[in-house]
Amino acid sequence: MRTGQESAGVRGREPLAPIHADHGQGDLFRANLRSRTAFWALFLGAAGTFLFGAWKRDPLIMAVGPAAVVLGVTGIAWFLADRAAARRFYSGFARSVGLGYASRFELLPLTPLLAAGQRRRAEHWMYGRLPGDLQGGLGHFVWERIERDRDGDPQVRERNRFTLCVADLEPSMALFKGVFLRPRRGLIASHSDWLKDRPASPVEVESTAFTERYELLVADDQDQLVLRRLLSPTLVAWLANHPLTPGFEVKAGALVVYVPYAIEDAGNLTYLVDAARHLAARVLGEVEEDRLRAA
Amino acid sequence: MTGLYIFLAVLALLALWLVLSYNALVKARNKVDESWSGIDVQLKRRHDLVPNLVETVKGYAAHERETLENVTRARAAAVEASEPHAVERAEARLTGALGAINALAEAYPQLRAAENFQRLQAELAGVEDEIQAARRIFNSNVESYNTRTQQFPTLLIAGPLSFQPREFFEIEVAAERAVPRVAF
Repeated sequence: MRTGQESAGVRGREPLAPIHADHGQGDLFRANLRSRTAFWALFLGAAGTFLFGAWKRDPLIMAVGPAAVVLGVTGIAWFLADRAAARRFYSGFARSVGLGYASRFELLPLTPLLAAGQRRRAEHWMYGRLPGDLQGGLGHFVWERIERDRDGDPQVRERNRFTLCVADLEPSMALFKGVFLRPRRGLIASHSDWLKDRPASPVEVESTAFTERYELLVADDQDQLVLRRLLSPTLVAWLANHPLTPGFEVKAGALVVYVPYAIEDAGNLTYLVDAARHLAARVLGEVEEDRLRAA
Repeated sequence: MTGLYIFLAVLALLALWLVLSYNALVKARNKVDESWSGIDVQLKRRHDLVPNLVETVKGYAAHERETLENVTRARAAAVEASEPHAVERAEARLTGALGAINALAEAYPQLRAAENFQRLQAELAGVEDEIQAARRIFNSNVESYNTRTQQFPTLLIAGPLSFQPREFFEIEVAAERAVPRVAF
């Protein structure tokens, strides 16, 4: 049995796709620091602040100024390395599963989560045909709650980064008016309630383990029978035991499967895509059942 | 006077704990009952499939009367059963009888190939998956409820207020009985 490294070697030393967003960050950081730009920034910045201190006859500026420049340049080099490593990881992951990649993306606010906050964007967006023959995408979703201060200036009060997988399930539009399953947020929630102002009511499911993990809200015009059929014992047991505790929203012909944090490794991204595939199959299965019943 | 206030505060805390614990126990017990009805729904779906299955088999293997009557009797007993233990026994019997139908299908290739039979078998397998999931949910609820009734200090009120521990539910379904066949 060969290891991954050995297999890659046999294939002609092609580099292995990174398996984590931090993979290769150190190398990129060192490369950034060794770059000509960093050298000139350090040299000119340190010399400039030193000379400025000398001109001002202030030994504090002469000592602290160059140190601050070194710290600033190092920080920028680290930030750029972090961003480049993440971009390399997500674009590599997208390529490995046959998806396109965009570092920034705009998502239509089809479900409450996609419309959360006052400002939103998708980052590291991987789009195309997902496993299970679904059209959609996955990546990070950043939403911000913005309030105006006393002077009327907008202030970001909260910035949340979720990982989500969106699938286009147009045939489900008539049957599913709004099913919102959210991992419980606990007493001290890290993000505000994006379902608060929605015309949706909480629904209890018979499983204690499920209820401890999730809260389920359903649009007021959602057919309860369809909901019960969707939340069959197999799906409830599956969700109650899923290692990622994924939440989901089905509305307006879109399925959003998400976790309320940033996933930065290939294993968990694959898990999330698989969860979306499973849930999409269940939703479409219900649509098909309904169609057969009507026929 | 301070002593009285402290006494009243302790009494109020005790009353609050009593109410919260009682409510938590009631909620846990209701979840157990609710999940039992979840099993019941799935079992009923299985019972509803059996007559169709029997009719389909009759069309191909009419002289296997004894097997078919066994299935019908087992179904009737399963429909009648209501207590968990009785349900367990009746469903086990029904599972055994359905297993005999599977064995019949091996002997009648035409039956095995019949579209209706295949559809019913697939539906039955789906229902049995749901039964197993419903059973897992029920047992997990029972475990959660029993743990609450046995934990200190809730056990101090669980016994006197008649929160008796519940028993787990075991059921064997045809899918579990089926041994995978390996052919070379």
